[in-house]
Amino acid sequence: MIKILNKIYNLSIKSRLFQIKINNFVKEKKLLVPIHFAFGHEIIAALIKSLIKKNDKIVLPHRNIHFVSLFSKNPLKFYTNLFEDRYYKLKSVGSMNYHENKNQIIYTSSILGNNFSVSCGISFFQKKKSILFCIAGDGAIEEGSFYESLCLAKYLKLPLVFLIENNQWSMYTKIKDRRCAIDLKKLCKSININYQHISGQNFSSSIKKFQNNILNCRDFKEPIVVEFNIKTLGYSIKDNNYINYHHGMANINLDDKIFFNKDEILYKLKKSLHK
Amino acid sequence: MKMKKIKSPISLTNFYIKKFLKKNTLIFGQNINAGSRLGGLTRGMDQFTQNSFNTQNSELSLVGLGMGALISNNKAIYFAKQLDFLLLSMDHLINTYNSSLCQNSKGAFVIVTYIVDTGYEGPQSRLNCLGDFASMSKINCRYLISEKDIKFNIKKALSNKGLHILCISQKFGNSTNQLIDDNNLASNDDTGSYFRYKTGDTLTIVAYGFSIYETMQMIKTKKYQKFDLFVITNPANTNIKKIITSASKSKKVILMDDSGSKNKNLFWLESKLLHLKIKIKRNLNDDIVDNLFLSKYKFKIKNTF
Repeated sequence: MIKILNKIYNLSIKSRLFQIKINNFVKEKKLLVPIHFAFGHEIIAALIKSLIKKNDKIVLPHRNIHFVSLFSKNPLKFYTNLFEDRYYKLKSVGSMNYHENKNQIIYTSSILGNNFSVSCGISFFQKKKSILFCIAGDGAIEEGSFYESLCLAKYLKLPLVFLIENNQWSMYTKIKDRRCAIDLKKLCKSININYQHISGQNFSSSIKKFQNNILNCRDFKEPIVVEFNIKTLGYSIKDNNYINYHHGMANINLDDKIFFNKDEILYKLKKSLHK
Repeated sequence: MKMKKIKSPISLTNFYIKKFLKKNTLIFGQNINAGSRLGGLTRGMDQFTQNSFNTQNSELSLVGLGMGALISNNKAIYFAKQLDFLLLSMDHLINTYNSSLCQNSKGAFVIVTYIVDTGYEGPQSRLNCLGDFASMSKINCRYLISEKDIKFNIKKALSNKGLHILCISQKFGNSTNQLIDDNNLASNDDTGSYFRYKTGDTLTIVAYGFSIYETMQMIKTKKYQKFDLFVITNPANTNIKKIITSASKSKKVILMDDSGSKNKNLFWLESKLLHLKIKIKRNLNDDIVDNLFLSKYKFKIKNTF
């Protein structure tokens, strides 16, 4: 277990460092294309990276830099191609629609909730014993497409893992400012789909259960919903109000947490940055 | 002499889909393996592939399912009850498809559906302009009318990559009357954007999509004998070169279009013909003659019939 945790820590740091680098490009105004940073989300990409198998695939939403940083063969090239002077020459697709040939990330969507049903189609043709991770946020689950896709995945027995990054924000609003509470656990229960909740408090103890759920999905083609409670970092305070940024430059501090409050991680992070 | 039995567009579509179906193609839709099987459109389809199933009623996700097959370089066919139901899936038809074009996906997704043109739809289900769909994101849209074009377009759709929408007329889908004499088939372009039936050079008739049924009625009533008939099956990307040549020769053109769109694809052809000062008669679904547009030219177009 310590080995896996250590791997996840290191991958999280790798992703955090990469994002800091890209954030600096934004600060220096080299990158004018809006980037959806995922500071604080790195742990999810790191967890998937440490458990994924060769034939497994990933489908991402618009906020995908944490996955791109770990799964792309050359993530820096992808983002530097978005520099203004190269963007139009290369006809780049933008930061939200990452695509690279022969990559485990098979599709990314800039539209909220668009990737759920596309995941069902991709998953239908998955190779034997392989699974598909579909990542989305708490804003996307408000779309009707989420419910439709859950029903479809259950009916078709698709080996699909719906990973919901719940940062309590969508666009510029908190959940309570825009909708009623959604009890994902109860929703999944009503369709007879397995559900797991992971947060910073229970992360280490949740890994084993998560591995078992993945195994179940792989072997018995049972879709599963995993909800991560995370906090997107990089916010700003304006007029005594907490402002969650939607995209663009993030105010990130090196002391900001990587999901858990582990001193040694921060130490490693600072040390590697110092180098 | 034994008479050749005429098959309806629905039977022909069913026959040619089964004929050109590729192995492992995913076939799905609401009630495709139950009840009337969409009026016979999907009859026997489940015997051709294991990947055939009835689905829930969620058009957005069902089109997304097909787009997933396309993106992962596989093939899928979705039988939708009627064209206007696809309005629920605009996100995938535009955004996801554009994304797949950027990814250069090698898969194919074919949607087969009915256009409700019975005339008593009421306030809903009145969408009948396939050209509007086609123009949104380079979708290959085709009207399925006679045996020649049904065979050609289904074969193309099932063997080419990309997104295809194939439509059958609800009003005439079961018609077993011979619509056009295939012996008069003169030529069609390589892409199958039109099918040309020629009996003479004195008149050029251009029929967009299912207005061909009305066109044939008109030909019969008016007793036209020598005409050059173009049946447009690809509403948004028609190769008009041969039509212009024919019209320049005959100097008389009749344009037929029954679609309810305010942005008809035939306007492009019409502007070319007006520029060449060719006499035009038109029968459109609605009266949308733009006076400003026409006043540029020194003569009037007759709205006939």
